[in-house]
Amino acid sequence: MTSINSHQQSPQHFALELRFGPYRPDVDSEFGGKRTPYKDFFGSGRHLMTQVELDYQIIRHVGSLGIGASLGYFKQTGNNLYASGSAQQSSDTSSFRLLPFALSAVYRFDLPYERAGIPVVPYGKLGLDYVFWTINNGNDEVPTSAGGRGQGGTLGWHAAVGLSLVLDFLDPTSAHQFDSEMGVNHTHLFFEYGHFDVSGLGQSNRLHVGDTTWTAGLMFEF
Amino acid sequence: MSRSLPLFRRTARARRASTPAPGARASRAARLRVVVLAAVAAATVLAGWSPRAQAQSGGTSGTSSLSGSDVFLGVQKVKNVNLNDLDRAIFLNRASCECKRTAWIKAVLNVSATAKATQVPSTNRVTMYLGNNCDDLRYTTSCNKLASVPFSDFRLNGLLIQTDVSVIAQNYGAVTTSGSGGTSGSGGTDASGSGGATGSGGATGSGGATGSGGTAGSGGDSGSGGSTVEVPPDAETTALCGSLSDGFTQTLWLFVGTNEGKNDTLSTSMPLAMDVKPPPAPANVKVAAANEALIVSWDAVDKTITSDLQGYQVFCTRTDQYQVFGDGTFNTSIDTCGDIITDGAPEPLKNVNTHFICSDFLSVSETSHRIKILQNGIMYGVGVAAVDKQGNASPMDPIYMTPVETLDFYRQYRHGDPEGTATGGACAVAGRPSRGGVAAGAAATSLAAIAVALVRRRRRRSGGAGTSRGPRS
Repeated sequence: MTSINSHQQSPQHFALELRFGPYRPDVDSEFGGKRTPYKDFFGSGRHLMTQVELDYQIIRHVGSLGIGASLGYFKQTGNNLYASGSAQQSSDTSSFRLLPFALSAVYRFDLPYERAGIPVVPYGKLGLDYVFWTINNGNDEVPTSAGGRGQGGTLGWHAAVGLSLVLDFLDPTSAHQFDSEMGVNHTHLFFEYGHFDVSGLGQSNRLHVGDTTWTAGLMFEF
Repeated sequence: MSRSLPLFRRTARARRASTPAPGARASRAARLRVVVLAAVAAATVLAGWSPRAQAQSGGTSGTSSLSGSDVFLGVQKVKNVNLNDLDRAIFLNRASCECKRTAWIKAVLNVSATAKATQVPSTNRVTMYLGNNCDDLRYTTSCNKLASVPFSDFRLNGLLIQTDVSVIAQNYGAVTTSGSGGTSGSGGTDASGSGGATGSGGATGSGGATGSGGTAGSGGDSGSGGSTVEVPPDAETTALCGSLSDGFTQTLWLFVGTNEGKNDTLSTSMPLAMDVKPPPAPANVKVAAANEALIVSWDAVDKTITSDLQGYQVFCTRTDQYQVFGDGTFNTSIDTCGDIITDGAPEPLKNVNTHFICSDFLSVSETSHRIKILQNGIMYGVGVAAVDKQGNASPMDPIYMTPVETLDFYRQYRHGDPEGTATGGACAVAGRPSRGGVAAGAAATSLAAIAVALVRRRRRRSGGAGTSRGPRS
């Protein structure tokens, strides 16, 4: 049997992911269905979350196990309501931004690819999150209300499973060249589904900003 | 013995050098010629010498004659601070309103022309004029002579003349008028006479009064359009300051010549343009109420039509007459006549009163602006002016709007039943830890410990080398 990666490869230590996906912070989960302030203000649609993740692959044994750190960005904008109680939207806007940081343990079962050249790698992630959130009231100010301030951080955890397609089989020659010239061993296209429980790890006065959603993107192992 | 050997070697080498072979002698002569020519060429370059320059000046230093690029001409708003082209245009546009604004006109010999200047006889004079066609001796006397100094003084000190905008914004020299035909010819005594007083063109009339041949022109009646008219020296000049509606271009001249007004050594000039025509106002201006703010938006002015558009400036008034922000709060490129209007004057926005500016200068790509730090419940007038590169601002019709209190997302989250509990703060471990939080913290610590242990174990095994992914098949 001829493996797709039977050539001499450069050493591999890291994986870099660039991923995109829809996101809607579950702020309303705090109220147990009694109120939906996030939905009322920003609507029920999801908006783009962009993330980048760098993994360090520690061991290889029936797959690879690594630790990874990721950083993301999300922004949503909505119209303020008039304070007169008319429930009418004004031209004034508020923005809501998230900067999620995460540490993950990542396991990739790439043995079938390494041994048999099957270009599909299932993987799983488990880790901790800290999401920095900030609200802007339109005057470039962080609003305050009832003794609170519209800016803070929330701890949480996440678990995700995914499937990545190793793109090297599409053009092995270019893949080999990419490795020899740039040191990139493999290029993956991946799809991931995950649950992000970012509600303070049980603390009661934290803004809930997690979600259960999917992401997709590109990963480079080098 | 030990001393005689080197001496012997030198003597032998010298002998060999003094008795070359015939072929070697010829090649050495050729090399010598090349070296001499190269030395002459290098000396020529170093001295800035050229055969043409020598032919022209005949001087020992080999310099060419003065040219326009050897003299700097400039306008100053503040003494000894030259304005660049853009700022000069903006400054001179004050001619549409502020006629007595002091202006300084500077002329100085460039340092690079020092050698050339030594070739100009010290008896030459430097004369500065304002006007049209001042380099034509027929009109020189009609131009406004600003200064005349010996060249020796100019070479040392240059010229710095204090005047004001009203002096610059006047017609001097040859003034073109919209003539209604040429003068009627009366025949000439010489059959070869032709032309004469044959104006052509309108405001840019050329020719005219240039009959050639004959003592009197035999043409006549052939004039069409405008004619160039010589203004007598004692005639009143046309004062444009304060009445400019579109634009005007003055010309500043500097002559160096054998006598005052002569330009037989050097003639150079600089146009002083005054474009006071504002760009078209932005269309579809809208103002929306916001919390302690107003949001103004507009349609961009077409830059393909208004090519000198520089940007926009937002103006506002509290009610319809009071200044909102102090002078100097925002940057601006407007330097027309709005700032001479006193506060409290009616219709400050229509008059582009720059005391009422409410935004920094906005680029051409911007089509909205939020005026902040306003007061809810108070009516404000808002306008947007398009501004061109000469600092002209389009007129505005104010739109009146009142900022109102609005509820941002955080206020809506916090107020309600039940209330939102997140009080903010970036410290993630603030507050009372729950059982779940403790468990998660323990899990995180365990995860980190396992990762560290795995890394250390792997390093011990591999001696610090990274994962090698060689072929396995």
